[in-house]
Amino acid sequence: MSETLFAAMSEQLLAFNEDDLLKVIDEALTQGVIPADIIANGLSPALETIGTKFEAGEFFLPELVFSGQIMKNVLDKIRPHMVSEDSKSSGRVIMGTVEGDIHHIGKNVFISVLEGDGYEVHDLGEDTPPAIFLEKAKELNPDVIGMSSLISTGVSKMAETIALLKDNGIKSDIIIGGAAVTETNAALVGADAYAFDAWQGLRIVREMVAK
Amino acid sequence: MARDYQACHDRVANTILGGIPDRVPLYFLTSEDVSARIAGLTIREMMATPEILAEKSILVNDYLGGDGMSLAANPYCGPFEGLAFARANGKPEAFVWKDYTTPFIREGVVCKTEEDIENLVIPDHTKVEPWPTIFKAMSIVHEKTGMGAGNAAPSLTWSSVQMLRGSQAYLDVIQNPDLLLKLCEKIYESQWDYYQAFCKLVGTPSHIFEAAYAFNQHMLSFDDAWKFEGQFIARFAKASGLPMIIHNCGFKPYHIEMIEKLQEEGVYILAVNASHPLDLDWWVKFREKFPEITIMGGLHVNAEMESGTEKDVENRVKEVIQKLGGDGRLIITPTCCMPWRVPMSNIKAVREAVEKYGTYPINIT
Repeated sequence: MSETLFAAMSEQLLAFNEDDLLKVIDEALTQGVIPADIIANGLSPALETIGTKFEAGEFFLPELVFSGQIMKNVLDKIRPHMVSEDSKSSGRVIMGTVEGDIHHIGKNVFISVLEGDGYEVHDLGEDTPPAIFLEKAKELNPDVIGMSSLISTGVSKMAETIALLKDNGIKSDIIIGGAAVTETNAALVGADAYAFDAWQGLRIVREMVAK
Repeated sequence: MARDYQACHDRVANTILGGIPDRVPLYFLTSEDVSARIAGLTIREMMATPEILAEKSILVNDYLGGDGMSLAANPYCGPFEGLAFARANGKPEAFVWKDYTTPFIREGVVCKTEEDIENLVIPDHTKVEPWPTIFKAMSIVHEKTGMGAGNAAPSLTWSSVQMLRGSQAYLDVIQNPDLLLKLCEKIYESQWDYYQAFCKLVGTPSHIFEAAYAFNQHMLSFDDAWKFEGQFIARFAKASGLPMIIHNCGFKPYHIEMIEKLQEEGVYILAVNASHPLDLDWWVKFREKFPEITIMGGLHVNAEMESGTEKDVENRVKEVIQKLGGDGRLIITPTCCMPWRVPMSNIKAVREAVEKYGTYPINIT
């Protein structure tokens, strides 16, 4: 029975049909399906498919933003049903767009993919000064710190932020991404990894948290 | 050594028109970051008056030493158009100034609701700052150097869509395309006003430098890119009667499809300014397909310019000229704007490599 519901969830998410997706989730919750299974078996496979279609040029940013919005609403609905075991996160991530850059779409897509995979993500927002990254890193002790920038000038700010974190003894893994970033300059600014897109980022975060 | 402005101008013009100049031209797209660094002023200090902006723009371009002359505060309709919209619509707080980096408008604030789009006020570009300062500065630069005024740079339409509507625009593509088209029409109207103000205050430009940001596979499907941006580029080109240089610094651009479609619509494309694809063999094929379009690019500011050594830069310039420069129609242009992190030694290395390898006839072994 659950398998049928999980398949229906994936189908509705891939069709970007939020109303019907929420109905299926309601039905699953009524039947006693636990939230962790809804995320792992109903939503994550569809998110993976969306990522694959994006990488293949079949989906574009509108589909990513749309699915991100749907995921946010779905997770808001599921969250009150979580008991402590369900809400145990896959890992903790803090994520922000670096100072001087106020673009947020890529960051937000990445956050929704991470949350869909069960991570606890703290969004620091846009135009985030290095000192705020440091303050939140000290406060939350995240497994991973993510930084995003669309603009070419953002890489310098990433370097400054990473230097500040390391100078202050922050041991979290650092992943960077965004249109301005390349694999080469990721290494030069002291990041542990670079992700081309949200799904590559998810795979890297899984590896970082698992090690 | 003082730059010979006339020689610089002729080198670029000759190349774009299909001639063989004395050497491959070099054109730096100045950014606020690199300009503030060279001028020693914050962005707002640099833009305080047209006279200061003009003086510092000449200083910055002379220091960089290419063949171009663009304003130190990049005069394309990106962030500063966002500022004009924010001011015209009573939301100046949406604009974020930075001392040494490009300022930005907070995305999605100006057109948060449908009502905001309905009531969107188009800025009068002859009156709403920073445009009067920018246009006046361009005129001063032109008076002093004979350069820097040929280049009107509207942005039709996606750059402004993103600034005004933010990520909601991507939901609109699916959920409310008619509303999004209404916003695109208003942006077109604004860009036409910009163009008319440019003609009035600076003079009729020789061409349009158009940023085509929607035409990237990581942004929109090609059909949507055409629907929400391409058709407006074509309309603008027809209405102005001017040829275009198409700028696209995304990393998965639809160059071929976009140019073919624009040409079908009768748009005359002089040049393409791009950072991607990075594979020069792709550009060799592009050259075969579009032999009359000048390639402006070759170096990616976030690749060898930012992260490489001087030798890396020299080798890349050499390879670009070897593969693309033999028959002209090449302007070496690190793309997009140079960020603060680019070492001055790499800027110098580009200049020296262009001098070393770019003299016609090209003879690189």
